[in-house]
Amino acid sequence: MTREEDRPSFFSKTIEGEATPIDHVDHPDLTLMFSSLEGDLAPDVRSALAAHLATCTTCHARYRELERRLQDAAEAHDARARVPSFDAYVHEQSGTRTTMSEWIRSLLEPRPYVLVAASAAALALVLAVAIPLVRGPSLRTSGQIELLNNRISDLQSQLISLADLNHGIPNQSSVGNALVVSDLTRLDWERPAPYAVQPGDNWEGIAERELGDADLWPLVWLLNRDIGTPDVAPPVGATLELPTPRSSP
Amino acid sequence: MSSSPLREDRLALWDRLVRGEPVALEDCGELVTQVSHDASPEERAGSILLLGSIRIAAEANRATRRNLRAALRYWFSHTGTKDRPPKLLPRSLSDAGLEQLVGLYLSWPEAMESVGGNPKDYTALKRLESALRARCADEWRERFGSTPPDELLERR
Repeated sequence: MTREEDRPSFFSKTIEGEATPIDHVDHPDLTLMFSSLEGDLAPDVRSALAAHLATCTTCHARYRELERRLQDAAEAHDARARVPSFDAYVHEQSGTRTTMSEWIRSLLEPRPYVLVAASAAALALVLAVAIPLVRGPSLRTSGQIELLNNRISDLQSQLISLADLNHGIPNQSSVGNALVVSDLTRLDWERPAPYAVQPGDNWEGIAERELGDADLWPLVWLLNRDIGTPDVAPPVGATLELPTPRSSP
Repeated sequence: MSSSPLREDRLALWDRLVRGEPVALEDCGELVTQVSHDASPEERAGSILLLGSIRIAAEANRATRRNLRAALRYWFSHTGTKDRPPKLLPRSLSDAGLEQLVGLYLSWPEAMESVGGNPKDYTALKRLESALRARCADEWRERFGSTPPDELLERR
């Protein structure tokens, strides 16, 4: 661009004047912002909200924060969706079976003796556990129980080893907890209830205890941003506004 | 800062233009009519620029309409406090309104890309400004019956 083009034109100056901040009396609530971010608003309402946000620095900053939170939640949700279920894992491993139940059935159907043997083993296991409980454990049954316990421990160890070695088993815990839209809509943000800050409270703790989800703390703070900053716990005795559980239809 | 319901109404129409949605000339005509002759130069400029933009959006060819959207996005993105995501993808802004554009400080190629135009067409802004300047000058004379500001006349 040339130096002449760098000079503010009539158009850029006029547009800048159009978007100059306005001292608004009324401000949109969080529900309206959520609806806008989800694309649920009628065009005239959406444009009126856009006009407000373009001229209200406070609401615009709040809107951007919500937008970022929802984007983070959506990305986490997508990552979660990419983790295959156990059925999908079985399908992948077996190549042809679609569900775990089909996989088990496929093992049993062509081999009825397997079913008989499995039933007998299950009966023996029940007796091995039940008899000592009823009659008191003899030395022999105690030994059998110990063998069974050892066997179970071995199997658990093998499973843990498989998971540690990441033998194709996805590590779902790596996805982490994140805010999802359903967390937001189960709460009524338009009719908040007062909450008096207790000693030892912080934003995350309040969200976890009162709303059941610590990930909601940024929204709790946004709703009460006049009380303090997100990096400092709200002062004891301050009255916060917290969303209330939405009654089911 | 002061309350300005007329400006808010205009901004709602600006938002629709930025999104590429049709705006009826009558909607803006009423707003301009409410701007009295003794209104501030900024108020009159805002009304006339909106009127000129709506006329172009309604009557110009497809390329000019696209350039208008890009220009409006470019200008509005340069208002407000700068708040730009580190990984901004212009293509993701195809449906963006004012609430998303304000503070982004888009470059002209980014603004063009966001409306599906050629990001390397640097002369598009010049052409659009020329067309818009002519429209606004005519509207100014017709609505206010006075000579338009020099900035609207200087390159005609």
